[in-house]
Amino acid sequence: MDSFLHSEFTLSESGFLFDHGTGLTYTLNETGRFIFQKIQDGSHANNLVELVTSEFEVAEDIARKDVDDFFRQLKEARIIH
Amino acid sequence: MNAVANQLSQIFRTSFQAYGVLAFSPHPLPAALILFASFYHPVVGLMGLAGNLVSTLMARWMHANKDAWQAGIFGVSGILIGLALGKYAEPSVRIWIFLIVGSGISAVISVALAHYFAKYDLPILSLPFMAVIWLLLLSSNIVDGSVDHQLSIGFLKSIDLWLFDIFPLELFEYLKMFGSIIFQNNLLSGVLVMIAIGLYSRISLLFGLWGGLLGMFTYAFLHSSLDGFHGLNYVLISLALGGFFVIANRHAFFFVSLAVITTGLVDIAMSTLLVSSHLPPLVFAFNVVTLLFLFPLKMRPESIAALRLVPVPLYLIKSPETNLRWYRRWSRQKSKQKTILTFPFLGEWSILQGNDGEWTHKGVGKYAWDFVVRDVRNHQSKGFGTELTDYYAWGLPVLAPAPGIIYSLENTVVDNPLQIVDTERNWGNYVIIDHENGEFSELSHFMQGSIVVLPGQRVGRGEILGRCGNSGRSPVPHIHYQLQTAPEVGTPTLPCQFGEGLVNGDIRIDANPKKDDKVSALTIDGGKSWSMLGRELESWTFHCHNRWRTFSETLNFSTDVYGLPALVSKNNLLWRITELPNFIVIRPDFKTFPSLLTASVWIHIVGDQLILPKRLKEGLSWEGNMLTHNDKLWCLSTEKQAIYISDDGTISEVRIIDQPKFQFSLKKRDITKK
Amino acid sequence: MVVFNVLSVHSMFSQLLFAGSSLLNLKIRTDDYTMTEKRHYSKPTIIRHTVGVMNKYGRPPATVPMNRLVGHEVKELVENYGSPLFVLNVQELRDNYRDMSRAFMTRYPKAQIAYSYKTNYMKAVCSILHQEGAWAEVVSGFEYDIARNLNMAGENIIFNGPYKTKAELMRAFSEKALVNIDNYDEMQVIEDIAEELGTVLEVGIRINMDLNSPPWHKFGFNLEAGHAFEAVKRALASGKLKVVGLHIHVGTYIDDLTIYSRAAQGMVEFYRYIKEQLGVTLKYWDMGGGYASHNTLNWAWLPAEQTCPTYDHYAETICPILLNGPFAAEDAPKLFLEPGRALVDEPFSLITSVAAQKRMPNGGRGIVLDAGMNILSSVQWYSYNFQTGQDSGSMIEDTTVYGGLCMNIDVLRESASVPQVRRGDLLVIPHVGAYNISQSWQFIYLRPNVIAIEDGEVHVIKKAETREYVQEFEQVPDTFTK
Repeated sequence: MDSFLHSEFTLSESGFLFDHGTGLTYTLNETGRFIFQKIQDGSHANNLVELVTSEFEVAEDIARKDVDDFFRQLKEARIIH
Repeated sequence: MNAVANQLSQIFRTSFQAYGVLAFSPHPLPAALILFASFYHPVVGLMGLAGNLVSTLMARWMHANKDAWQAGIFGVSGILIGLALGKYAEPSVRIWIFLIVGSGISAVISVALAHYFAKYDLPILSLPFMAVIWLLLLSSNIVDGSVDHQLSIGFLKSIDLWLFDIFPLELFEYLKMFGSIIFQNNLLSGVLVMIAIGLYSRISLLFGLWGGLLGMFTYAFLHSSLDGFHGLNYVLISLALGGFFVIANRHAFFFVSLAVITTGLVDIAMSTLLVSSHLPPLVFAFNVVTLLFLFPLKMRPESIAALRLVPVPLYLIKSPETNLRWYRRWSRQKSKQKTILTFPFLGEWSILQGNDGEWTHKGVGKYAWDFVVRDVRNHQSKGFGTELTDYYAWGLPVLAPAPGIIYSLENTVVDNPLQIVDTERNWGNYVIIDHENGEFSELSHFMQGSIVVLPGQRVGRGEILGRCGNSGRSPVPHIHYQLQTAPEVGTPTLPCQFGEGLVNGDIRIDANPKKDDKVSALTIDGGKSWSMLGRELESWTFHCHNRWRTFSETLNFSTDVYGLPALVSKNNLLWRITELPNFIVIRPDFKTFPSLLTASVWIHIVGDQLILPKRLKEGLSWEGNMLTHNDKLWCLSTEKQAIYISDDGTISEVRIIDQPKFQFSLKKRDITKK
Repeated sequence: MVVFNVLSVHSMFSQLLFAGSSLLNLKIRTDDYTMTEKRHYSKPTIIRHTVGVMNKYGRPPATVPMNRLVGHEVKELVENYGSPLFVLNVQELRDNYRDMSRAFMTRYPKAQIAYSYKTNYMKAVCSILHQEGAWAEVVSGFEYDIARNLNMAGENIIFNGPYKTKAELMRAFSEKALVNIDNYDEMQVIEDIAEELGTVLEVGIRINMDLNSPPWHKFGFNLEAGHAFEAVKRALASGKLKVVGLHIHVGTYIDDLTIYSRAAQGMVEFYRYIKEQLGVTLKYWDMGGGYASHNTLNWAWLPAEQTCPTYDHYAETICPILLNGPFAAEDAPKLFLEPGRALVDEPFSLITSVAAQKRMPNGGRGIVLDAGMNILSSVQWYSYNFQTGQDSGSMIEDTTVYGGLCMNIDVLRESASVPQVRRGDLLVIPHVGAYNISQSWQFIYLRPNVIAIEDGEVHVIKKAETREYVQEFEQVPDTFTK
């Protein structure tokens, strides 16, 4: 699969995330869930920011900063490469 | 030489006083008028005076009771003998001898009778006179019955005759009646005596007038005419029973009326009986009926306050007005709280339920208080108030409100959970204190096992009895307090006040707090300690200025008629002292209804009471109910007086701030040094 | 070919699946796209679920914003008075005093609170407490001067401390202050003063006991070693001094009530002993301070909400023991208490702004605030809680809170639960009144405004420093300038 996700994930509507590989569970907030969904769909960091700004009420620079931070967190949690 | 002069002046003064006693008006001015009236026939008057002196001296020689003697009682028989002899006999040396001997005998009889009657607290009235005069008249064969053979002052007689023509007979007789007390038969004497009585006491005068009138009617009714009417018995008995020996209330009015009618009957009966022996009945009826009517009153064992007809103890008798005042004070005193109470806790508490409260303080349990502790938010507990320990009052020390002996207690009742009451054992854990004056304090709802005193133990004011709990009929921790007349649990409560304390920030010496009032005990941080209570034999004189009049009052430290420490005044006014933990309260009794002759009439009211703090802090003073900062001035609560304290801590001056011209200045004088 | 086909079928299949699901997703997304307005944004977060024991102790969750403080909007206060900002809730200060007063006065006939100035000697704070009826407890000539300057009469000042100059003592005695003697040298100086003034001076003696670990032996005379008795004896021996009071101060932040009961017991027994042996009658005894507040100590196992005794607990411990002393109820010596933090800690709060946030190498989060140990030196002992001054969402994260000083030790808290805040957001730190202001450092930053709010009205009780003010007493000789 051309996904940079580490393993299989199941994401619920409410933001509950299950990592099939490690068995660990996470909670994502609304924005987080939206982004993760996009990742699952195959989007990359670059156009994610665009997607976020068109979906949510937020300034671009803030969105960029936050998305970067979010990616860092995901990397740390070994969810993405 | 001085001692002799002293003695002589005493004798003269006492004899002079006797004239007043004669008409139930023992005071110099009426005495003077009566003395003057007796001199309508100068020789008769002189005989009266002589008899007076003899009997007075005789009584003194016999060491009669000092107080009674000084009041002038023993001179009365002498005067009457003199006046009677003068009226009924020709003037001669023989008569004078009879006079002197008779007066002497009357004195002896007076002393004996007085001593015997004292057991029953009855007055001797003019019984000695009656005994002696009848003896004399019988043994000397000098019954004559006319006064005309005595010389009288010429022009006075003419006035009298002129008046006789003007006035209708009844009125003339009526006015003359008062003179008959001193065996005078003229209008002038009558008027003089009337004035004398009226000056001393209006009540006496009114009763005298009424008695005389009723007497006339009675006499007329029984005799069908006014011939031979002598009003003296009627007047005398109304004076005696109308405020003098018996308190003048409306019951006394009916009593006197009945007595007057009885007098009429006795008098006429006596006259009829004595016709054969030619003895005038004189004041027989008066003496007999008075004693007859007084005796049953004196025999009553119940408390005076419960009676309708109130006999006055002999040693207390002053004017009818003063007697009335004494009686009112006495009955108020009987229901007055004897124990001085202070709040039974530390710090500031709040009233949950006061007297006549809406939950449990009703009926016989009306006069009680429930105390709780509230915080700044006015809550009784912290947090949600779900535990007993959340309540601020829980476990706080409960103190004794007054000294006494622990009568009984209960210490084993379990504390209720919140909002649950134990109605079976209403008081829960309680303590009852006997204050040894007929009053008992009851504190309830103590914590189980927290009471630290034992029955029979003597406790002082403020001693810790136990801790506040929630036992008995108690939904939340609180202290319940009540004063009662007997030690059994459930006895009716007495209305009472706390002797002193802070109520909502004001210092009160008569605290009767209501629901939601904030109360705490009073501690005055003292600097100097100060007290107005003197020692026995100390005497303070003060001069009272009221613009144009200066009045002097001397106070001697003693005990009053109720047995309490009192300042006894020279002017027979009563000052009563009540000692509170932090104050001394002095109640002057200027508010009497005195005769016009006592100086107190001229004095403006000093105020209901003087409240003096016992411990002074430097530089503090009072204003209204509040302690304020001031230089030397102390103002007291009720009437805005100012008291100046001198350097040695004694009062030097009392001023009324509103009336700057009115002030007392006090000088202390020790009467032990002469 | 077959292999290839299988593979391709397989991939096609999965792709179909994928496409199918994305179609589904598309569908949902289409639905989403039918909404014209944008959704509310909050910073994306991912929180791992941890297995373990949840902290069951009640604390207001950090996610509940505290956007109003004493009735005023936190944001508005900062706009008007800057950040950081100390805020005093005057009513709470008054209530604390009244509560403590009530607790002791309902258990002891004569109790008096003397506020310990060193905790926070701002004029406004001391004035408010004096207005409520507190005396002043001072430990230096400087503090004594502050008290006198606030119109406190000398006789309402208690002067303690191990170092008092002769001039200060002379002033204190002339103005009838209560002085508690700490050591023999001081006693000597006071005797000289008595000589000069020509009167017998009334003094108190400070004692200490072996109560805590480590024991507070620095101050006063030790009771167990017999030094205290010797001191009283020595004081009376010269005939120039009269011992009328005893003073003990058991420690700071004592939440162990047994220490107070042992101290009270010691005082009572000592009084009994000196009364018998030396005929001393006390006018007062001073139980000092040390009462705890609702700040949790760094090394504490449980939060302060659980462990801090109430005023009633302290009063219940101390008063009944003291009432057993050798005296009748109306002659009970006056009881003095010297609370500091127990009164003044909680009414103060600090509003601070987030300056920056960082992602630490270990993945944890760090935030930097504009307040540091310069105005919060008590972080050495306390673990402060942080509340947000605005709604920062409900996702809390374990965060290291750094102060704004350029010093590595300036860490306000190693690990705190803080919601997702960003630069410019406000945090409110409660219970900062004790020692933070009086012990603040003039370091790197100027000290900020302090405001007091009562009945809705805001008063500035200390203006922020300026450079001119800080440098006012400096002089630069010409030889140092270019």
